[in-house]
Amino acid sequence: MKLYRIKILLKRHLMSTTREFHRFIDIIYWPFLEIILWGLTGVWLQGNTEHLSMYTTMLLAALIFWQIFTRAEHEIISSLVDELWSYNLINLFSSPLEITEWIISAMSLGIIKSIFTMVFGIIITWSIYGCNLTLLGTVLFPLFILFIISGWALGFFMSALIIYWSHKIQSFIWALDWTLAAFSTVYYSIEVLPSWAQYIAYALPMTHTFYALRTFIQTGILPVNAIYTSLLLSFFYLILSMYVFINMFSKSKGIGLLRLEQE
Amino acid sequence: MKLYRITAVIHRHILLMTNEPHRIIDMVYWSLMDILMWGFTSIWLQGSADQSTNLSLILLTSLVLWQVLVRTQMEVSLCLLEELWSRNMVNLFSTPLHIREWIGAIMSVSFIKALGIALFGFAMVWFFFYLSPILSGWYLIPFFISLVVSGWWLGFLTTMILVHTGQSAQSLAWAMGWIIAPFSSVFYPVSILPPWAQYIAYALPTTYTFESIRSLLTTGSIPAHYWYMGILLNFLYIIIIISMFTYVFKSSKKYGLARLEME
Amino acid sequence: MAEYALQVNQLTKTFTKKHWFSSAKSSTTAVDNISFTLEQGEILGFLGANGSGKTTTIQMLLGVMTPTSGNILYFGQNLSAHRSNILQNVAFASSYTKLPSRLTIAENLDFFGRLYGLSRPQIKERMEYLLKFFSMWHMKDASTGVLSAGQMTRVMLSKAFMASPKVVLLDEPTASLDPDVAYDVHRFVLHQQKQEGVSVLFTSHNMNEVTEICSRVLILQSGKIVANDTPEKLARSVSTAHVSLIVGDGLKRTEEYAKQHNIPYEIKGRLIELNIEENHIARLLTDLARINVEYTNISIEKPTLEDYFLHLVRNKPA
Repeated sequence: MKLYRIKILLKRHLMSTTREFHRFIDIIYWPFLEIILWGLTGVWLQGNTEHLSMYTTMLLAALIFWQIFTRAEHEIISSLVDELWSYNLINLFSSPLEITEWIISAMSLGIIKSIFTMVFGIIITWSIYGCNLTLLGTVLFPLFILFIISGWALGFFMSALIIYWSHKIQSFIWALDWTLAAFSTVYYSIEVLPSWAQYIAYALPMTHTFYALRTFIQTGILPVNAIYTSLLLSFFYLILSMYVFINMFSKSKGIGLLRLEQE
Repeated sequence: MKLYRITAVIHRHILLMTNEPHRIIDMVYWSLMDILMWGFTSIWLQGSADQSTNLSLILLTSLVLWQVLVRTQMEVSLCLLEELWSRNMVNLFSTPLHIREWIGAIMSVSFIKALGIALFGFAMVWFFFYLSPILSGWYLIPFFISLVVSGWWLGFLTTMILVHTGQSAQSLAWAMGWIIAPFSSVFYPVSILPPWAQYIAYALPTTYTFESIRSLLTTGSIPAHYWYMGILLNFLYIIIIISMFTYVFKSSKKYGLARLEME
Repeated sequence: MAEYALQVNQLTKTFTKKHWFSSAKSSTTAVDNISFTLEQGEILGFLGANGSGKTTTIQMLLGVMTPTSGNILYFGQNLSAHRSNILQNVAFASSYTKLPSRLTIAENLDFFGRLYGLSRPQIKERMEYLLKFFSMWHMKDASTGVLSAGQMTRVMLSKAFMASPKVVLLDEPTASLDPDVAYDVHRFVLHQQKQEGVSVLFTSHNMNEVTEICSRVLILQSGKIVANDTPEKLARSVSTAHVSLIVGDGLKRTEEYAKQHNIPYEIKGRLIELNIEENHIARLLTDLARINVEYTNISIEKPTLEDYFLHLVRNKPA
């Protein structure tokens, strides 16, 4: 494992963020738009515009953390998919680069961009709605970590599918993304879901993290067992997804990586 | 203007849908997830909001109609993108096909898809949440038409950029429609917006459509001038933008249409 | 005299880039005031190195790029004024474009047939005829995304000839093709020319192919036409034939003879290579026989278009 290879791969992706239009749109445009739309809807629903109700605060906080989660997840996927689209996959994986180095680089990219997303989100919500999320204090830290880990896990799982099935699987992947959003009880508590859906929801670490967030905002107390459950689940899924990814990668090489670029 | 050429292009795009059902599944799934997300969130919020009106019905009706708008815009842009992706630009535009005929074909294709989305959306809202926006009665028809027309001019605005800049701007196909979302008061009334934003809002025909929907569902009537403003603005925008598009297309030929296919 | 299938008059294309921070403009002239004609039923070769302005010219001939100045006439009608009508009879095939990959071959050909105004039965008939000619009929329901380069080219040609065009622009139709498929393509193009009187503008990098099919050749260099003649005449204009002899007895005499007649030569062992005019070869051999030179092996290489092309490129003015 060489540090310089990890660094150079990281640099490559960071450079393309500043130079490629679609990555700019991903990291600035969509988050900004979501904050405006969801936030203004929340403001309307709370009935007054003077001060933010607790519900609107919960809505905004949940939104920002959901953005952090998806950012970590999508960066893992983008690291792979961008190479596919620019026909660079063979170039990359026929170099001395090891797959573990690629994994570390992808995770680092996820963290860096998630930090950006968090800071961006906090600033925007503060300036538009006067909602100061930094008041969450030290709680920000564990929540952030939990979302990053689960984001990584989902990202690696998706990448495993892509590295084996190529472009065709993409619509399925984004669909899966959306499905998980519904089950993760991002904006609503779990009771709202039908009972069969609740089973699925409980198996997702994000559900527990959002529950912790909501409870903290409402009561000022952080439910520690929700945090622990989330931590355990996240780590479990992360290890599992990395294992699946490395496995699928080898299997894919068995058939030959060139086929992925040729649709 | 020859009808047979227009039908040939329409047929080509419909074949794309039937040959690869995953495009329809994409469209439909994304729409369904959106409905579920907003639906569950509104149910949860209903328990806490100060509104006595049927929040979910308003939000979900607006949502489905919003999907009609944004989907129409996407479909218009995607039609050009498909030609770019398949490197078919020179083949297509070196035939006797006139750009006016192509525009007509694209409008027809997107209208059909918009109809599909609307019907699907309303069916899903009824199925999952037992709410029937159809209760708004025949008003749905002019709303639908108004939003399709708005989708058209938004779509041709995006396509205009694509035909000038080429593939590198392709993210706009998905991003453009959403720019007007915050201003069109889709999910909240215009009064929530700051005054400078309200100026912009009132210049958009979509604002009048969504305000009409909200007004209809809360008070049972629609202010007359909303009708006139909506129709007038839509008419104006579409004439202007289609003329601009035709002009940009012709001037793009100065640099050659083949260049657009390059990454 | 019948009108020209295609007439290009003083066609120019200049790309200007304005620098936004100064009023300076830099311009590149891709096509510089070219004029040429394509007779009816002629196959005209259109050659040039990459970047010579070939592709730019073709785009203008198809109406997908507007010229800076000059005009293009098909059968006497101006392209910019009668675009739709003219394009009804003009077709295009290239190795560098593709067809929509999510449609089958049959659907694609049907689409283009309809764009050209063919009726259902006509489309069916033409599709069958063309696909059968290219041995692709059994694949008509295959998606174009899975075709190999050779198969794609054949489908492209079918698409071009669907509407029985009068003028066809072929842009490197045989690039990356196996020799047997390339042969089929040549056979087809010549057939169309003879049977249907189709006029063809043919681009290629393969000099042998051009010599074989084209009655006349245009060479484009830096946006200008630098040659316009038959392949044979062009070839002969630069190069002489090479006669190689493996001499059994009389090598010295051959050398003397060459020096005497000012014939450039090169000796490698028992092989002597002479560069002489093609029509002097017979006399050379007779003379060598008279001075009793015995050679066991002889090979005669005629000048080719490639020789001409290389000469042109190497002697390009800076």
